[in-house]
Amino acid sequence: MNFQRWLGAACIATITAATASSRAGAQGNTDEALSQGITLYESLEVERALVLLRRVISPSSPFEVSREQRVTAYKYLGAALAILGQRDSSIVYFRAALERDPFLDLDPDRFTQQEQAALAEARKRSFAAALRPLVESRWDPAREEITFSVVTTHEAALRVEIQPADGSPAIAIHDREGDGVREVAWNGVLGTRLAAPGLYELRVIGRSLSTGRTDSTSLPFTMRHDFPALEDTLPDFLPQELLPERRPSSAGRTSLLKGMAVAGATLLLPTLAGNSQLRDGGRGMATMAATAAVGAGVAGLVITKRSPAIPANVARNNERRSTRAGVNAAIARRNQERLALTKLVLVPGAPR
Amino acid sequence: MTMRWIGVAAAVAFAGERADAQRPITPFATGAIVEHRVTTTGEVERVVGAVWGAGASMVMSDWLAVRGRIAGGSLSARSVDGEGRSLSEADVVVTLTPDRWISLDAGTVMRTMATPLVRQRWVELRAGSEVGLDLIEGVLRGTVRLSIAPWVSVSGQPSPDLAIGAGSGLEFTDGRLVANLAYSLERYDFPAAGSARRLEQHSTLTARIGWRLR
Repeated sequence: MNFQRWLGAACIATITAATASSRAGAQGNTDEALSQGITLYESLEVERALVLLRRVISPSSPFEVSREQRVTAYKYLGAALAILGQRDSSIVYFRAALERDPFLDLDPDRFTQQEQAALAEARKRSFAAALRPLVESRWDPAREEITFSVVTTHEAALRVEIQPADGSPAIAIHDREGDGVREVAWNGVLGTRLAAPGLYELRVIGRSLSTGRTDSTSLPFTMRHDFPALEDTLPDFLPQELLPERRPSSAGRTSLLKGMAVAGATLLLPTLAGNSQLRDGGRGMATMAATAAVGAGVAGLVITKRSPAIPANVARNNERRSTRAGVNAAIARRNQERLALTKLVLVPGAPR
Repeated sequence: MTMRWIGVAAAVAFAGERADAQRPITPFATGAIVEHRVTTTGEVERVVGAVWGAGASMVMSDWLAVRGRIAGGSLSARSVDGEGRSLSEADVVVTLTPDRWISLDAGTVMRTMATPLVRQRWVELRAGSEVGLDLIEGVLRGTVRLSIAPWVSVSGQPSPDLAIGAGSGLEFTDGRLVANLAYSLERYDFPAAGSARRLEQHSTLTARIGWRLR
């Protein structure tokens, strides 16, 4: 059983390796043809370069051609045809290159003015808006910004906006007319607040000022907040954690009974603890004290009925609540200080 | 060895020291009616008078308090063969309150009674317990107490065979104000000398008013 499993795994590994090797080989052949074509172009053997470059983009090419390879081939085809004076054909190839990569540009040190002019014309005739791939970034929103590279192939009104994935409205971070590549800076603030952690889409919408044509593109990204761990605030007191703030309805009767109990005990004291041979010693005072105790019980009954609140407990509970509120305020303050240190992290793509 | 025990006792006593490190002090003034009854041969000698005093209590921890008091006054004869006298008293009491409804106390009382001819000095060690009931929670409280004096020294007299005390009280608290009305009775039965036996009893009704400082 184990052997069969091992054999299966080995077969899969072999097929995968063979496929990868074949793809790499195919791209390798395209690379080779492209390099030869470019070398011939640079050696001014333009006719021979055209043959090789056309072979790269030919639908009948047996080799796999990546997008970048195709753009390079179109670019050199356009350049070669411009040198040969075939301006219209040159523009066609440049437009094909621009459609795939609106950031396409010609190095003025390596390409002639004739070629530059053909590319400029191709730019005028095509319209595309594009955005460079995002890279993971971490920045301090209070002091730093990140930049997004965007481009339109010719003069256009360009709007760059960030669309939260939660459905809330998109917020523009750039909205003006211009041409070519723009570096759009963003500090991480959306409206008046830091962009909340979550999924977003960076969207570029361009409208050609000459043709009125519109083009757009977008890239998803995930925003994270990076800050020191926060403290939890203390919860509110539960009712059972606080002292009772009101007396029960039976408290008045209980007060009276307790007062009478104290009075009864007071009256008994001279008899129980006193010496009978001293003839009623202290009984008068005991009677006065007992009367006061009964009075206190009655006062307890009346006061409890009139004002069932327990001020001491209310004060104590308020003191505890106030202390806790103070502790929570201090925690909130410390958390605010930590949040002020927040760094934003932009991660290209959507989380899987 | 004694110092060691004192150290241990102090450590135990302050183990529950108040978290806020406050030790509220309550100075107070007292006014009392004191009745002193004595009999030796069957005739009861009775003196009564007002005694005024002052003192302070200090809360050391959630369950430990100390109280000291001095008082003095004159007692007038209320019986035929009675003789007026002056009374001065000082006491120091340590109170442990393991729970709100009960407290235990121990202390010493020094008392001097003087007539124009004789001065009698009392020193006693006393221990007792007090049970308390809240009549109005946090405001008004009733108490009943019992005590025993296991050691009493009276100048010119042998120590009593029996020295006990009992009392009751009401305590009113309103913010910093603390007012108290207490009745107490102290009984001293001295040993018989032939056919005569000296019996004494102090009854006191004390009003106390204090103000908690912090």
